[in-house]
Amino acid sequence: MPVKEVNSQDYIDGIKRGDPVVISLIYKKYHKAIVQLVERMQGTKEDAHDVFQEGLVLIYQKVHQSNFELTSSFLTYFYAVCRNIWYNKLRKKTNREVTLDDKMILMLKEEPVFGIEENEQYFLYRKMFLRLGRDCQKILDLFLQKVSMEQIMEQMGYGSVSYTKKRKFLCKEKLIKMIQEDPCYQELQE
Amino acid sequence: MSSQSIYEKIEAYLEGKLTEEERKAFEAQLASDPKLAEKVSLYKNIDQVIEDQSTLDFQKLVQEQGTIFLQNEQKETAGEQSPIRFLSRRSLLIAASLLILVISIVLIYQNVNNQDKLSGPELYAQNFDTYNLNQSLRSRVSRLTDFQNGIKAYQSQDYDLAVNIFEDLAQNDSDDIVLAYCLAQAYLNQQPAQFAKAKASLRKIIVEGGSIYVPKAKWYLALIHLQEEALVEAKSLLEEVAQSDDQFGAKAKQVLGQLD
Repeated sequence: MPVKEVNSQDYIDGIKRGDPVVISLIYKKYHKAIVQLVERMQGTKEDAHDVFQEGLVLIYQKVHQSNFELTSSFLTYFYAVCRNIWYNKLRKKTNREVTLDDKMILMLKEEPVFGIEENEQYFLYRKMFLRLGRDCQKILDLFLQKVSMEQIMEQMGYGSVSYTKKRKFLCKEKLIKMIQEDPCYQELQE
Repeated sequence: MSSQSIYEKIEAYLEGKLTEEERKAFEAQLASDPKLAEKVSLYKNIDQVIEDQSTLDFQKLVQEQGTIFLQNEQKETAGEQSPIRFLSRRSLLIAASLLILVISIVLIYQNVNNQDKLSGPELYAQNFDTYNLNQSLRSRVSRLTDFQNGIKAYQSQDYDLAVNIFEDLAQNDSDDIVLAYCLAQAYLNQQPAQFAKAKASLRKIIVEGGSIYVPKAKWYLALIHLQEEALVEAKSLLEEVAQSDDQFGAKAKQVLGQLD
């Protein structure tokens, strides 16, 4: 997709339908801007990468709401979303290792936060779920689709229903352990 | 109550499958046990996350595109920073000659001063290779399908899961040598590696004796000793392994040469 043909609504439509070409284009055009934003506010490039991804997922959820309306350019909107996400993270860090100057403290106080806390938490859970092995992802997904244990056993090729239950238990325990051990989880609990 | 029983209770609670009496008792327990309450909340949220497959797929897509983007960015940065394209052929030849000269001097210096000796952990890192476990292994475990699933998990590098499966099988088939060997390999590949548990499994194979896994077990046990800087034990085992004519024998001879 040539860059000159893409307008703000194209980005929103591309996000809405999960178009990899559009996502790739957003990385190419706006990743650098978000890195600069986060780095200016005491963050690292890795922080910025997470914020960028979290921002895209938040927009994906917003555009699927019936009342969503884009009232600015895509960049302005995306930038505001990412800034809010980073400010929210920074607020938590402020009480710990980060020292902010007066101007930054003022900005944090002024900036509104819209449903970011919840998104941050779910973003972390999804991130950890995607790190599980394929079998674990599949077994947990099948269970929540209300597929019976017998059918899950057959689909996964396990030897018995009790073993299938055990595997499901182990997968979920593993996921919980991964979430609880992540530093972001600790921050969210504070 | 075992952790699996608690898990089942939480699931039943969230699915509304407890009786009125059980539900009240469980909620009272939740009120007095913050850790349990946290766990229940996590279970609930995780279920919501998995059920929202559309957002999950989108996040996966964003992460995949992010990985591709960063890889391309790194390649471009490496390309920009590479000085080679700005150098003439003559400059390159001079640089290469100088490099060879410097390397030769360093090698001679190291040889003279005997400074090329590697430490135990370095020898471990240099010689440890992930063993290729495959489906053709002949285990005598009662639940063969589960054993094969463990191998599958190992092959897909999900070593935590492989350990879980093999440990589960070992509860009933603790004397199965093939299973003990697979378990040891899975322990060694976990991050971080579980050396103490791997050692116990490997020792079991050696003590049992008579199987084709004995020399292999000795080789890996020797490597663990190297990692732990227990050089005397490592050397003694390596000398035994060096007697065999297979690849492990050849490797053992080479490591012994580096230890001397």
